[in-house]
Amino acid sequence: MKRRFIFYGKKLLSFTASIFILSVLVFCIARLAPGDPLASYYGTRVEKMSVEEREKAMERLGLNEPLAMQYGKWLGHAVQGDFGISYKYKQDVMEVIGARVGNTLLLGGLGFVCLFVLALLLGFFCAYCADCFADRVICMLGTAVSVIPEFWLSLLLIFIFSVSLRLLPSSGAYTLGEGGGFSDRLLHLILPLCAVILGHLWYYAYLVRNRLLEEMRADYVLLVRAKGLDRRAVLLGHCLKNVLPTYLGIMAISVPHVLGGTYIVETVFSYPGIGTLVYESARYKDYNLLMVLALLSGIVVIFSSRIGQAVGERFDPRVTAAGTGRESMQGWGG
Amino acid sequence: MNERLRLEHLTVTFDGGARGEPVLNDVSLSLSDGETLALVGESGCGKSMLCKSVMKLLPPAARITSGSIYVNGVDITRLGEREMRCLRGRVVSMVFQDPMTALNPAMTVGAQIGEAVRLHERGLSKRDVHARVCELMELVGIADAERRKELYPYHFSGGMRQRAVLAIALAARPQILLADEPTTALDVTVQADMLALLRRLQKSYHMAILFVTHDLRVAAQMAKKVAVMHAGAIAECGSVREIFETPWHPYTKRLLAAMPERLRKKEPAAVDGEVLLELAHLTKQFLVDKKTCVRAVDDVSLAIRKGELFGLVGESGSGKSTLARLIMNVYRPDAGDVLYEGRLVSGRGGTHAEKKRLQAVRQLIFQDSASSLNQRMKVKDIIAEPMRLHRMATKRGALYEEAAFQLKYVGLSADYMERYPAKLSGGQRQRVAIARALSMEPQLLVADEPFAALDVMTQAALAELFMHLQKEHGFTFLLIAHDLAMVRLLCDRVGVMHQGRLVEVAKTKELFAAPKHPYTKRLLDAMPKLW
Repeated sequence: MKRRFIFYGKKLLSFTASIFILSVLVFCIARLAPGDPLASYYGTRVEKMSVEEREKAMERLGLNEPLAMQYGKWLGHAVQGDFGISYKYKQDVMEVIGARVGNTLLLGGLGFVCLFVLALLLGFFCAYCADCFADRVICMLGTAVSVIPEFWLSLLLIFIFSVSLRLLPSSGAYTLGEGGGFSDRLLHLILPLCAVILGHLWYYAYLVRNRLLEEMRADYVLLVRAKGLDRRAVLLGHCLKNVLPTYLGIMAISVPHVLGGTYIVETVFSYPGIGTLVYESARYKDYNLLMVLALLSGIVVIFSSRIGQAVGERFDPRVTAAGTGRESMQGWGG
Repeated sequence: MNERLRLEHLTVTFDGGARGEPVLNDVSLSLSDGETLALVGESGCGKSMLCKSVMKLLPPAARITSGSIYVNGVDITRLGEREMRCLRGRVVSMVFQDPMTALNPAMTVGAQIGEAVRLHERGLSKRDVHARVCELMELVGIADAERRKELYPYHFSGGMRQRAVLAIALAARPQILLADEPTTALDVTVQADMLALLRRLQKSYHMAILFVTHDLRVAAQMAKKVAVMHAGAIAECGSVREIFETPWHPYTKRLLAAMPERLRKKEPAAVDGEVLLELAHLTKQFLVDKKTCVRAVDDVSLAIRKGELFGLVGESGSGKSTLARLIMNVYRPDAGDVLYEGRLVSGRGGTHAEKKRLQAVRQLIFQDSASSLNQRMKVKDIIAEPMRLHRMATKRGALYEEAAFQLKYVGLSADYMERYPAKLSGGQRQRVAIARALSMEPQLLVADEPFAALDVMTQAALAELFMHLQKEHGFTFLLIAHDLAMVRLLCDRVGVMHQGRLVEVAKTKELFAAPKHPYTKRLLDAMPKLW
């Protein structure tokens, strides 16, 4: 019990430390980058302001103090749950984010699940009929699609399905003024979802395919085939079992990767989610908003890599059983 | 007696290979019920290919180009994959060489055996499968099957895994068993048990066994008929007595001459020089998990004199390699001392220059030269590297000239200088490792199982090289091996290790004539004998 307490205590400590370091870094880098934070608060009015007015405005927002002081104040408020207001939206940061986080979770979560299920199926199919016609065509198509950058892919999808065919809406999460019924939201989701999935699909499907084929060359497969099992049973019953833990681990580590893709896609489709916010806040020096968004992304990254590790330990019996035969080398030689 | 398996003029070639030579060339043999045929030959001669062609599990690039394989009178070269699946496991089964990789690491042993059971006897209830798995495990000598079938392969030792593989092969009571070097990767004592088990199973199941091995002594123990294979073709086939006493094929003669028992023994040196290396109550333990720790080396005391050839034998896991690493100061002992030339070298002290000198005069040769040589370095750089590191004054001009000389010294021409280790055979790689060690002109040479992965003939050639080099250089030689015959051939004195302890040390002649410790006796009994 006590050992477990210490274990989690250590984990918590290292987590807090990484978040702290991340916040310092983002705080400094954001402020060192060129740009005018007042522009996002006052909009175009800032161009007409006199030097004194600017001074006053800066003081009001607390931007003319030394960097360390600014950070100290921010940290003091942040630990009490007050992350300040967004310069652009003139609203509490959490409110701004809260209004949009659902949209991103919907797009990102749905995209994530679909992506990995499809990749597994596609990879398995390609491994099952490796080197046949279908496999070759899919490999070629997949490589072609995966080298198209996401923003370009999104534009391509908009051009084909919205502009030319007029089948699907090109932007937003729902039609303005209609409140957003289920079918309306779904229609708006299709194109961004396709862009998120297509952008990453082949990368993971190809990984599954190759890992499975690599596994097929392992020695134990010879024994399994000597038992009299066919290719499908070998792949399903044996190879997949050895590939899945790695795949689950990769899924967990890929959360930030897919999230990054979602951000880009959101921006292109003007989808009201976190991605658009990140882009705007970085561009217009909306410091408070940027801080919270960066920290949220950081937390997601840390948690997903922890989960990836845990998944590996849970599903691979060897990881936990392998001896921790730590050996003190004596530092001899050359 | 029913003829179960007959190969007629079987030829197998690789597609698109630049070599063009067939891997199997016009092979004919036959095998009947209750009979064992031993197939002997060095690695790469096509033994495994032969087994895989009978299973029709050849690699995709290999193809049967002519000839036929009759299983119970049916030519299986004409059968498709679907029909073959019915034969595999049910009529023909196979046991593979390396038990460490033959089982799926992510499935329990019981599940893997159960899969084979369910595949061949459809419609069995869960409880029937369970009972059959336990029965099979007990049949192959895995005690406590109820508990052990829930374990994963990594819990099993090599011998236990090989038994599990055997259980899978026997699940459907096959008529033909192909055993592809089933005992090569095992210890001497485990090998003896395994061979006894196979003989017993053959009697009760009345199987036809094709027993593939590279060890003539094992072949003589297992079979009455032996086929010698060379370069993809059967060189000679006959009864054990014929092969051993009146071989006519030159290859068979060479193979017989290479057996350690038949090699010329080294003259035992007078062992009264001064002590070079002394171990005093040496102990090293490893933590397995937080509670249990294993004493890999347990209170070992030993003295090796200058110019002596000392052999260390014992099964895997007995602490031989750990002892070698302690001697070379790779590990720090938990207790006890290592004294070299009377000076303590296992402590923390000592100057950097002194340590460096010690590393130069003591050299280590590893078991697996495929992984102990850097794949990205040319042979000449591998040999020259230690000389460069220690800034040795070379006797023969430039470093590479010295390297070429050392290479020639171990029997490789200068052509090999520009090659990478992957392009060399196992024996050639081991020679490069020896050349590298000898370039430092060591006082003490420690060889950790240098013969383990090699063929009989390569082993013999290397053993002769070691004898020759030792005579020329006069270095002290510590040979670690599990092959007793090789130790008997090469060494003046032998130490036997068992579970981390040094249980017996004696002069070679005395040890083999009158072993004192019960474990030594067991080890000697397990040694494959010729008749």
